[in-house]
Amino acid sequence: MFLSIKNLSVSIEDKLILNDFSLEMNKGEVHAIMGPNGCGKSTLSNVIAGNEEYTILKGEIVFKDQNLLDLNIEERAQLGVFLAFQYPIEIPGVNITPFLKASLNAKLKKEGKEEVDALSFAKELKQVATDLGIKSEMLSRSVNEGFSGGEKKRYEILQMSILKPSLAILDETDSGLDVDAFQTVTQGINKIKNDNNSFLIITHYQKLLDHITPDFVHIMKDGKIIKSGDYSIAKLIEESGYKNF
Amino acid sequence: MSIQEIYNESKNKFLFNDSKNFSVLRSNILKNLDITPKIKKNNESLKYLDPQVLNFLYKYTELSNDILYLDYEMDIMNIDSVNGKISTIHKKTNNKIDINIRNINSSNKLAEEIFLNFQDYFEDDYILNLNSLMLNSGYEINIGEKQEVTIFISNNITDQALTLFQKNIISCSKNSKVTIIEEFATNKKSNSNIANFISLEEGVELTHLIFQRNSLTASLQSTSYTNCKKNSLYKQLIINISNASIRNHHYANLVGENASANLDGIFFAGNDQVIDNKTQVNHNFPNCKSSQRYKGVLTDQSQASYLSKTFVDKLAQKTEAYQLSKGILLSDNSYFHSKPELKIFADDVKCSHGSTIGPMDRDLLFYLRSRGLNKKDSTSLLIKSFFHDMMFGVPNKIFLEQFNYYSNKWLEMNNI
Repeated sequence: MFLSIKNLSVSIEDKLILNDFSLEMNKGEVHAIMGPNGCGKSTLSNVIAGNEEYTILKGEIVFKDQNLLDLNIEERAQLGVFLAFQYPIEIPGVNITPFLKASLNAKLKKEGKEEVDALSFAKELKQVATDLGIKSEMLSRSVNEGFSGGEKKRYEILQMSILKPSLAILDETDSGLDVDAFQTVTQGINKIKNDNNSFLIITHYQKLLDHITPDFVHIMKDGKIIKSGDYSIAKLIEESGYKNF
Repeated sequence: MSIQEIYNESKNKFLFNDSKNFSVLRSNILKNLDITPKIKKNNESLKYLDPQVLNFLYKYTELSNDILYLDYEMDIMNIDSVNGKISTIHKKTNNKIDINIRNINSSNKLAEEIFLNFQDYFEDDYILNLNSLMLNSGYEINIGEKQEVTIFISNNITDQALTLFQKNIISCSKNSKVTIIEEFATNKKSNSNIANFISLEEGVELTHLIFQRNSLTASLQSTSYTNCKKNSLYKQLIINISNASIRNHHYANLVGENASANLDGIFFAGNDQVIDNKTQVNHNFPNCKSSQRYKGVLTDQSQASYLSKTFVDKLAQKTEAYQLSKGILLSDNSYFHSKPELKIFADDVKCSHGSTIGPMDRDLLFYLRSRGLNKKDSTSLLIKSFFHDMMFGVPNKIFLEQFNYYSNKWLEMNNI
């Protein structure tokens, strides 16, 4: 199994958020998680990425045969976990280009591969940015500083495209996007998707799943998955909400 | 040895020792030198000061007042100050800039008058009183009208255990545009108590960048008082990456319409360092602007304070004043005390202040680490980001490079 989460219970400030949560994903699969506000979707994505604010009460997360709970945040990222944040953070004074190059090189170093040089990196970054409709002048700006909501989301996809993760978690990446941004972001995701990586997509809307077809859709409630199935579940939710689950 | 005894032993060596007015001032200072616990508790110049600063033996090596002029290939004027006096000026021979520079001696009546006038502002300042009591050095720089000049001043000390009590005068005549970059990088065991009296005539723009990187045993107490006349702008930025305990107390007085003053500071503190910061801007005329921003990073058992004050006179309508204090505590034992103060007597003003002190933002750290950067590199990036708004727009490339180099070195030395 590529990713296996078993009986995971997680709390924050003594409040139980994930309650005996389990999920299994194979390589190349796209899983979507839908659920009402506060059901624990974002907690799940944060916990997989290693956010230290949460307390793990029990359970395990195994990814590429390694227990993620034994690894710190950067070790998980270097192993191929990528979280596209729901609310990407502004970091004034930290330029995206050297930051992303350092991130990529940390990953390549961990994989025992040769680090990328500045010139080839800049070339690739510019190309990916163009594909995502990001103007090249934005590459000389600080990370997310003064960006609109849509620009921040494009930037997350830009980072994902460069880092080429094996497990990408998209936490409501579709929220706050206008029609054009939605189009570029979904195209960007589809471009990266292949048989060697998996996607965990957290969304409230079927619309995103119309563009990135999931292999499985899971409904989450009160910290656990209460129903799993195919794309048709997303349609059901779009029509009648979560009350029937 | 008490300060009174030190004074009596060396009183004939101090500047203006034959001046009647200075004698009166010195007698008054001597009467009020005892520090009782009550005085220590209530006097802001002592409350946050490293007490070691007051524990010294007087030693001063007097150098000649003569200045050696050397040819220099660059457009900037490069000044060496040694033991509080200017020894060498490097400048282009054909540079015809109207600027008058000299060391201050006891016969300089104008300097004496300026010092005595400024003394009124510092009645309760123990450090400034010590400076006046044992005044042993200083220089003046007078810049002519409409001059544009960049001056680099390197402040050096020649001897171990030297105690410097220095007063300088910097005056900029109408419509001059001046950049002064000062560096303090003393590695000699010493105590420097330095006061700058700065005056900006109408339309002057003075950018004053000060880099302090003294070694562990080279204490520095830096004080400045700047008068800004109509349409003038004073921009002060202090970078303090010293290993010693440092005091920075800086004042600006806006005495003409549309005058502006920015008193900004950045500090890094580790080990047992005590960093004592204070700024104050007095708005005395309408339509003036000011900002006072200090930001610091603290680790180990270091302590820092920042007292900021904006005074707005009832005449100073349409004042815009901003105060900000931010600190990142990298250890549980570090301590940062911040006290912003506003005294406003006008009714049509925009004044604000903000203060944030706490550990490194965990959400920011999580974001960077989730991209694969380790904790150390992420922290280092976030500290640079923390100071970004203060360094943004600094016009001197070398100063920026120095900041990057020495801040990286500090982070490495402190294993951050």
